[in-house]
Parts: sequence; structure tokens; C-alpha cells
Amino acid sequence: MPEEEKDYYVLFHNHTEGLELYQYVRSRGISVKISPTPRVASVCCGMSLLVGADAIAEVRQCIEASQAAYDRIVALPRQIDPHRDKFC
Amino acid sequence: MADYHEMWESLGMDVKAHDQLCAVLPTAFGDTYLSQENRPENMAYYDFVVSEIHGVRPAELIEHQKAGGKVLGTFCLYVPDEIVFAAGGIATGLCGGSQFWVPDGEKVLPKNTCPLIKASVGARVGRTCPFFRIADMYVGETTCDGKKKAWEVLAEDVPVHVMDMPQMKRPQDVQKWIGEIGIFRDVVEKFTGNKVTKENLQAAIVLLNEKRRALARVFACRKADPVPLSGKDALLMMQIAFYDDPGRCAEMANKLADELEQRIRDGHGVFAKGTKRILVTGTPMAIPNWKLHHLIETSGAVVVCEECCTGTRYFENLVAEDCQTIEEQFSALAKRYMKNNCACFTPNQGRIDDILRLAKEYKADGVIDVNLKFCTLYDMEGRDVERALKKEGIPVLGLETDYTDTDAEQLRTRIGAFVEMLG
Amino acid sequence: MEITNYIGIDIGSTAAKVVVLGAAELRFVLPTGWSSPDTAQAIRRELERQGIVLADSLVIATGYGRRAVAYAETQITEITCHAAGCADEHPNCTIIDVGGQDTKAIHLTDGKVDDFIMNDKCSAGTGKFVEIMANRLSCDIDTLFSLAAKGKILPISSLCTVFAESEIIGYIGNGCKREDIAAGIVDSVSEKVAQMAQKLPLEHEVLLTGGLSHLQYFAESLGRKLRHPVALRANGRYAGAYGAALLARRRGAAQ
Ligand code: SF4
Ligand code: SF4
Repeated sequence: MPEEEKDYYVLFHNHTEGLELYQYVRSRGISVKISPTPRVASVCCGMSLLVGADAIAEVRQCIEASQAAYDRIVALPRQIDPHRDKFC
Repeated sequence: MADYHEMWESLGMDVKAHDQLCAVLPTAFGDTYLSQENRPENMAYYDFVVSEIHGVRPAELIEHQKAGGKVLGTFCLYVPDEIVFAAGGIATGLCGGSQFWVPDGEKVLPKNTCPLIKASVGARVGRTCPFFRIADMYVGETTCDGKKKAWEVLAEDVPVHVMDMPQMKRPQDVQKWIGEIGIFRDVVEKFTGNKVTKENLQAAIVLLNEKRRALARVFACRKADPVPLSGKDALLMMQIAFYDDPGRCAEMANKLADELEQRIRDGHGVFAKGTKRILVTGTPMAIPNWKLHHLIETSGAVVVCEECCTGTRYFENLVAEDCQTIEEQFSALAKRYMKNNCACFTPNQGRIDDILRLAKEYKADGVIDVNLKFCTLYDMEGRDVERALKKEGIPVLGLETDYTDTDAEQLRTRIGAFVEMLG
Repeated sequence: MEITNYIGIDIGSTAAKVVVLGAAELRFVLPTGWSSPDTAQAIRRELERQGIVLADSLVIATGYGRRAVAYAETQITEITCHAAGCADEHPNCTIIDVGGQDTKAIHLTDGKVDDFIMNDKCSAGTGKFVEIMANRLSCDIDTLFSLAAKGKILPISSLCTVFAESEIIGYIGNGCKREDIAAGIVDSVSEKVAQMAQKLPLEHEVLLTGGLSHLQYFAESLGRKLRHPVALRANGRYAGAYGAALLARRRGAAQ
């Protein structure tokens, strides 16, 4: 799987953890997005952090530095396709 | 991740069926929203709300109920939320915007009912939406025929109060609406056990006006070129406004507006300057109906305004805040709500005027008039809308669609050709 | 870099049409298979076989499968392309394009599209309808129209293709003449196409493009319904691809 077509999802035990890490990461200017957890990553819905391949190393450093609580990090082939035209 | 299964079970939901919706939502939201570049930082709040859509807000509502509060579900812009909040209740919008709920709705309704009604009824009878389970009482209105009959179906399963809407806008109709709001007050007082007083009604009026002002601020930013916010994001904010806590809704919209105003000062946009600007008009787009906006914004244009219930109609016009008596307050409420221009009214010249005004204010290059399949009212009014726009030299495209995916390619061709025609 | 050829590719639901303008002047048509990307590849091979170098060509794709043409510079809808394909000779006209799965009417003023209309999901009033009915009569589309010219119209009342097909099966069962059934089929398609096209102003000439645009009898039948003469656009089936090629040339000139 080529690196640029891979995305990372940081999963959490609850959204409090998720929002804390989001704030920490954003305050350092690293670009991440709040995303519903993709089904292939976990059967439980709720927020995750979507991190591009170019930012994942920095996010890992943030987790390290802030001792952030999280569940796990899942690497997935790019989930997003604006031309799929599957609505819900 | 947080597990809401227990909460859903205790709400009497069909957790297994609901799970299928949870499975597709992340993909649809990712494709539609997270594929966008350059979004304002403050959209993160709305991304969060969607990510936790069936968990965080339902849990808040349940907390409110545990403390003895009531939750009332509404389906229309004419229902005055002020009364509910004044009596210490919470009003929450309950419109279904997903195809997921339609088959359940079709079990009890004719197939040729508009998808909004089918989805709303389906969400209740299929027990697949926590909000539809949580609401202690539904508030209906006698707007379109489909909804009128739908209340009867819903009333078999949940307490429903129906407000009798006028069909015209003469002075005696406004008078009648004051009376209906009075009846609604009596029902709400009895249901919540709390009195509506001049003081708590005043507080509710101010609370909801603040929300309207904040939403209006965000919309005003969309008049800029380059536009600092995508139509999809504006739509999401509006959809969430229907069921979020009103105070928080205002706070978040104001934060977003601060950022957008800064973007405008910096000349920073989400689409290049000169991108073709579309005003969307027509039937409401309940969450998670993002289809049309997505198709438009992936076809080379941007939606700059919506003249519909999930758009300007929701926040335009404020309730007068300087009333001296409760009677004056009721009259102010009725006047404000009767300014809404829904196709349920006859005649409805006000809506045509709104569309022409908004097309100019938002500098729209073209208008897309969208109709949910089987909505006779908006479909019929479409003729007037198109005629008035053509007369003003504003290009217009009429589209009819529902919640399914099957017409996406055809819609893309129509929308694409329309955008090419503008350019 | 010098561009030697401007290529318009129109991938419709039944046929893919290609027009090349420039150093090479040619056009060809291929059937659209199951997959548009495969069709796009087949077109590429055919172009290369004819000695066209894609690297120094500018390609614009249109039609239902336009997004599948990865080697295209850009995609433009068939509505704009059909208009471009007619605008030079007919700057003021109404174009009726009966396609495999959708039918469009396009209004042009001074060479620009100012209104258009497209049928809904339903296949009645499209090439698909004619194809299905021709199958029922065990003939091809051209034969169906020449049979129809000799027949007396048998009314087909259903709006839905599936029901219309059973009406025809009924007629066949009753031993009705093929010519008469064919006339009924053409009448039904014309009626539906006319119903749609009538929503646009028909003050100028009306031109037929698309897959049925070589059939004089169809133009006559449609003209009767519209109460307005309908002309066949020369090489009308290539109108979309030709328009795309012209737009490619315009784009090349602008660059
Ligand atoms: S469109 Fe009319 S009936 Fe429907 S929610 Fe809006 S105001 Fe109410
Ligand atoms: S969209 Fe039309 S039919 Fe559907 S609920 Fe609203 S007014 Fe009624």
C-alpha cells in the first residue's frame, strides 16, 4: 500500500480523551480532523482522529509528550472518496 | 470507543437495525465532509457532533429527563420553541433525512409520500433513532396533507399535539395563530408541570433570538467572494441547530462567524474567487441529507445560501423583545412565525420575493430549485419560482430528487450542465 | 508543446463516439461494454492504431462515462457538448438529443445554452425503450423505423417501459401486423420526447441529435407531435463528440 494512500485513525475509549488530544495536536498546528470512526476500524461508533500519513509521526510525538489517553491507532487505505455517491 | 449500546437498549431501540445506519454514516460523512479542503477550524465542533450523533446529545436529553424535564419533538418551523423552553422543557427537531428510515415508513404510509415524512415516521416505528425514542411528546402541525395524516399514525405510538395552522396570512389568520399558541401553552404547561410566565417567556425569546442572530451572522459571511465557508458546512450547522442546545448553538455559530469574518478580511476562501455561486431553494434538507449540496460542490460551483427551512427561513425575523405583557409576547410570537413563507400557504408571494432578494444579496449566479419527490406544494410552486427568476434574468434549474443514491449520476449531469451554462 | 490533435470522446450508455480534429480528421464509434474504463481503454487502443499520439493531443470526454476517461484533459457534460456541436451552424435552435438512457432538450440563443431539460430516471422516451421494443419485434432499430413508416399506429397507452412491453406482447399474441406495432412504438417514443421538449420554447429550428438522428421517419413523427418541423442534424450521433473536440480546440487555443 503506497504511503500516500494510507490514512490513520486514532481511536479512543471516550470522546473526552478524543477532544483532549484533538486540542493538544491542533494547538501545535498539526492538521488532523475529527471523524466518525470507520466501521472497518471498530464496530463502536463515535469520534476518532483522522490523521494523514504526513502527520502521523508528529501525532505520535504529541501522544508521547502529553501522555494522552487513547485506545489504538489503525492504519487504513484511504477511506474517503468524494465521487462514490453513496449517501446515507 | 464509547459504547452507547446500553443507552440505546434502554430506549427500546432496535439496536441491530440501528447499527446498520451507524455503519454507513462514517463513510458518507467522510466522503462528503472530510474530503473538503481548507475548512474553518470551527467546523471541528460540528464534525464532533456528527461523530457522536447518536450518543452525546441523546445522553444530555436523558439527563434532562432524569431531572424531571420533558423533551418535545417538533417537525416544522412554525412551532414556537419559545413556549417549550419557557416551561423548562427542551424542544428538539425530529426530521428524518436518511433513506435508511424510508422502508420502515413505507410499511405504514403510501409509497408516494414525500421521503421526509416517510423517513420521520420510519424512524419512529422502526425504533432506529434515539431522538425519536427520547421525545416525550411530538408536536405536529396541519401544514401539508402528508404530515396531517402522518400525525394520526404516530399518535398510535406516542403522545402527539397538533397545532392547527392557518393556510392564509390575513390579519384574522395571525389572530388565529395567537390562539393556537395559547392552546399549545396550556398543553405544554400541563405536560411539564411548569407555568409559562412573562419572565421565563422573555428569557426564552431572547435565548432563541440570540441563536437566530448567530446563525444569521454565519450566513452573512457567505455573501463574500471568495466565500469563506462551503454550502455543505453551512447546511451542517443548520441541521445541527435543530436539535442542539440553543445557547451552545449560538455560541458555536458565533465562534464560527468570528473566524469567517477574519477569513473575509484576509481574502481567504474555501473556493476560488469567481466560483459560480448557487442559491438553493425549495424543500427542507434534514440531517443527514447532504446529497444535493455535495453534488453541486463537486461539480464546480458553491452553494452560498439556502432559501428553505434548513436555511434562511429558520433564522430570519426576530421576535420582538420589548413586550410589556404576556399578551404582547404571544402576539409578537405569532407575528414572527407567520412571517415564514412556506408553500403550505396561499398565496405565497412572500417566498418569491424572498428568493429574488436572497439571489441578489448573496450574488447568486444561478438558482437551483429542489423538490423532494411527492411534495406537491413545492412542486407546484416551482412554476412560479422559475417564472419569477427568469423574468429577472436569473438562470434557474429545477430538480426533483429523493434520499436514494440512484439518481446521483443524472443529477451530476444536470447540475454540471447548469454550471457550464452559467460560465 | 505543440498539440496536433483535438479529440472529443462521448461515452454514452450504448455507444462510444470519437471525433478527432487537427492533423488527423477522423471519427469512429465503438459499442460501450459493461465498463466505461474498459471502453476508454479500447478507444485509446483504436486511436493509437490509427496513428494518433495521445501525448500531443488534447482530449475532452463527455457523456455518461466521461469520468472514466483518465487521459482526458477535462470532462464536460453532454448537454454543453451537443450544443457546441451544433452552435456553429445553428446558433439559435432547440436540440433534441435522444440518448441511450436519457433524453435531453437544449435551447440555444446566439450559440449559447440558455435552458435545457432532461428526462427523469424513467427509460420511456429514450433509446433504451426503442431498443427493448425492437428486440421484441426481433429486428434492429433501423428496421423498426422503416417498418413503422409503412404501418398504421396501434396505440400504446402505458407510460412505463415494462408495461408497454407487455402491451406489445399482447399485440403480437393477437396477430397484429408488425408494421402497425412498430408505428405504435415510434408514436409512443415521439409522444414522450415531445412532452418533454415542449417545456422549452420552440421558436427556432428543432434539430435531432443522438442515436436516432439518422431516422427521417422519427423526425417526421416527432414533428407531428410538436407541431413544429424537426430536422436531422448531419452526423447527429457524433454531435456530442464533435462538440467536445471543438471545445478541446478552443481550450487549446486559449492555453
Ligand atoms: S417546509 Fe413548511 S411544513 Fe415543512 S418544515 Fe418548513 S415550514 Fe414546516
Ligand atoms: S417536503 Fe412537502 S410533502 Fe414533505 S413534509 Fe414538507 S411540505 Fe410536506
